[in-house]
Amino acid sequence: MPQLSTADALDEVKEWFAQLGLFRAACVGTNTTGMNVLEFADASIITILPSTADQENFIAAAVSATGYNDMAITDLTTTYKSFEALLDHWNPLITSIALYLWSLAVPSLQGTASADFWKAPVSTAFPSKSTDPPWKGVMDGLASVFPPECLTAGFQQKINNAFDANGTKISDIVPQIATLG
Amino acid sequence: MSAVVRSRILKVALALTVVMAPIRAVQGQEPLVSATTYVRYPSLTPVTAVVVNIGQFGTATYSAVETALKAPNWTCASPDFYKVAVVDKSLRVVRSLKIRAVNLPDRDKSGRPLTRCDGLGHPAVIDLILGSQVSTTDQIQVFIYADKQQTKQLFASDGKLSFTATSFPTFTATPQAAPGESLNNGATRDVGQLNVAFADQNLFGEDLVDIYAKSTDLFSTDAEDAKSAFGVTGGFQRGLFSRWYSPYHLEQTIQGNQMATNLSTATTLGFNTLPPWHWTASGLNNGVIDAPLPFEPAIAVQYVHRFEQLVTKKTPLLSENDFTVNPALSWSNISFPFVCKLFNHRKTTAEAPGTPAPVCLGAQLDLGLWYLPLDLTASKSERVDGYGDASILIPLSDFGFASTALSYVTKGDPMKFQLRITYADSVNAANNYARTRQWTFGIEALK
Repeated sequence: MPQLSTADALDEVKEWFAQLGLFRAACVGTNTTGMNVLEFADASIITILPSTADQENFIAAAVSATGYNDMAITDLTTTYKSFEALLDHWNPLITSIALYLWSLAVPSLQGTASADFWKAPVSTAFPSKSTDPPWKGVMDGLASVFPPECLTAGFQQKINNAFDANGTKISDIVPQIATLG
Repeated sequence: MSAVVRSRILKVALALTVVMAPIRAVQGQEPLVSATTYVRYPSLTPVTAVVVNIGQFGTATYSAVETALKAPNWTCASPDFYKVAVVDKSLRVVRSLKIRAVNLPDRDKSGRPLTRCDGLGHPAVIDLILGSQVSTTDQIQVFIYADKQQTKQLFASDGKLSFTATSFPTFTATPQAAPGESLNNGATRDVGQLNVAFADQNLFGEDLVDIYAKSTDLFSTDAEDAKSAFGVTGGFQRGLFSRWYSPYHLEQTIQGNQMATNLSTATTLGFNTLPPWHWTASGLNNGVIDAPLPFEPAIAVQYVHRFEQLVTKKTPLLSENDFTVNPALSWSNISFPFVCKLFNHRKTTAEAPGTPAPVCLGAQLDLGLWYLPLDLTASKSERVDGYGDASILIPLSDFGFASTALSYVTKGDPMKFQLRITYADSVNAANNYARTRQWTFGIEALK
């Protein structure tokens, strides 16, 4: 079962934000000036890139920077509404976060199939309350690579509440973290 | 453990994976397979492909790759381990589609294109580039196998995939009856006509440059039919710079009527791009003027040579050679934020991130030039005709009375309508570059 070390998994998360920065740099206009990372991640693509020329130019620059060479105009105009959703197509943040959590889960879940970890209850993978180790360590690790506006105190509290709720699975908590906020 | 035992364990594991794997992605995630057509840059070659999403943790395809990586010789970059087929409603394979290549759209940490899958989300998608024609009505099923013989199936999609468009050659021939059609000799008569259209967006499947051909023709049962025509175009296109969208094309068209009593050839060179614009942020993003997007420049050069001309009462004799150079630029999305203070602009809701500031007064500009070196003026100098238009755009939301007095026009939502005032000094190339100047006023809906 391919797994990553905790450090490598955190690097993957960091890389996701770096690639979001490359998307931002590929926006030809100045509409993104003054936006923080979360605002850009959530920004409407067709608002930032309204014309076909802007979209074509974004694709040329983004493909050159990232290697995602199958980007289509319809990805920008129809399929994906935000830059976060667009990037998730080629580099799903869910996967990076899941691999990070997997690297810190209890030994009995290490080396299993990814599907087994995905459907495991969080209380099995991290047998503690949200305020105790190891989950606190998980969140501290994420806070070290997330821009502050993407993991605010309120958002962390929301995640912790979900963690403490009965029956929450890894497949519930990971997508919630990946929504950013 | 012997090789035979290991092989049996692997077979059982593969079989279990197929049985247990859900067909659909989990709620809120992307579909596991999708259809796409895209244009590679800078070659500008069109591609029709099935995208398999293998990078979403917890999905059937992620697990399939996880399992496949244990199989000997498995590689996600080889078409041998996939099958794409057109199926009927009972998932019976009607025909298999050729997979021309597998594209892994991602890079490794050193920046080189990926050549293998790591099972950790890199690449997150793989493109199965099709080499067979597929229509928009075809229902497509996608399979992943652990072996080249395609006996150990790891994943099968639900067979409901379809394309909304493809890049394969198109050909249509539409017969029609045309009663009372005008003839070149001035008479009219009932004729039969055949409309023929052909287009191949990528003639040779080249990856370096896009070479294309297209033809639009109308053949008639009467050779004197004034509408009979043929036009065959061949050309190539490519981006000039790989990191900046800068496409150019060079194409040759031969056109005429059915009997070639009217016959000409046109050579066209075109180029368009966008200038870098971030450097304007301080000068063009302030309280007075906001122009966040650049103007769009383009240039078209055309040489026309007329071999034969059919002169009639409706079609005068034209010069044997025409040469035109037509640079143009279009600049939209210009606004003047300070006007909002003057108009006491009404805000309806809080702005979401990425939402542009409200526009209270906008502007749009188009400029161009026709340079005709073979067409001399009365003073024997080469002809140059400039043209352009300027528009002032005023959203109806600027006017407090718009939502009530103009409710029929605005449907109660003045935010979605604007007043456009345009002054145009235009030159009509289709009418011997005749010049007209006019003001126009109108209310238009915003998308």
